[in-house]
Amino acid sequence: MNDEGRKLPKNEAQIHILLICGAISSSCGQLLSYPLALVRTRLQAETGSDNRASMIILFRQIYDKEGLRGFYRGIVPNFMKVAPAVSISYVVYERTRRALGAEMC
Amino acid sequence: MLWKHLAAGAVAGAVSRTFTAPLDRLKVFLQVRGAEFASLSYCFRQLLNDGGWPALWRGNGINVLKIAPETAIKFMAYEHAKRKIRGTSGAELTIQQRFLAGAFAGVVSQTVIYPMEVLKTRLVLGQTGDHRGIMHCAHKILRKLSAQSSGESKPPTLFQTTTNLFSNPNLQTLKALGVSIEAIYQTCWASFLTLELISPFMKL
Repeated sequence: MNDEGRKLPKNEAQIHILLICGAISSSCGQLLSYPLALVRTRLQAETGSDNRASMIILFRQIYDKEGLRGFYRGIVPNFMKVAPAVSISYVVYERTRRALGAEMC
Repeated sequence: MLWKHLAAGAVAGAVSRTFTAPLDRLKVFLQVRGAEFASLSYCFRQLLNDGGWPALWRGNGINVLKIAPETAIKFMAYEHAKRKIRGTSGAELTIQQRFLAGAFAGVVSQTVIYPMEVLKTRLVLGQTGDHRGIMHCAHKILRKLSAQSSGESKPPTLFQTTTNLFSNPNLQTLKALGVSIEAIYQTCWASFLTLELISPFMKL
């Protein structure tokens, strides 16, 4: 990254682009890994009879019972979270960093 | 200087997770018990009926608590991996090498904090009256796992619980497999991006 450019205020615009890129790339990554995240959460939850289910068994179970749709349950609130999470994180991070007196460069 | 950035990161994580906690609880409910709920709004109403507005933040405490160890371990592992890859050459790392270091950092930090992950999921999924708090939930999990692995009906002591947990290969592999694959996919990009964005500011 260009250290000279960082000090200029017009770089604020680049930060927005960076945030948007971050949100898009994280959404794409989550879209691909969502079925894994779902299976992981189910393993962590260990509800009822699937106490000893393995990852593979759970994958098959979900596919047989609910089809592909079953792997993407809950993705809507997950995506509703991305934009507020990224922007709140950024704003609070910057304010806290300044309040603590930590330099950017 | 480093601690200030880590502290700012922890505060930012705590605030953003707290703001989005209701959406997170909805997500986890739909992931695990999605077939029971016809729609998003129906699931949301069920959650409200169960415990009112405060219940939407159930599990947020542990979610916030795990930020600090997660971030600190990730940074240490990232720096360690970069040093190992660089070796004695002192050359700049390529983007692939930094990606590898980021993936390693993600796997290490996720594996270390994984028990807190499990706790979070259990607390988030809990209905009113299931758990009295983080410690109560942890104790319940340990007792149940220990009873499963030893086959005893009598409640075991904390020491027995811990030793039994470590000698139960079934649970170990299950958890390890789940976390490794998930961690590689989900966290390598995320940690790579955050570490890359933040490291120039910290003269790492």
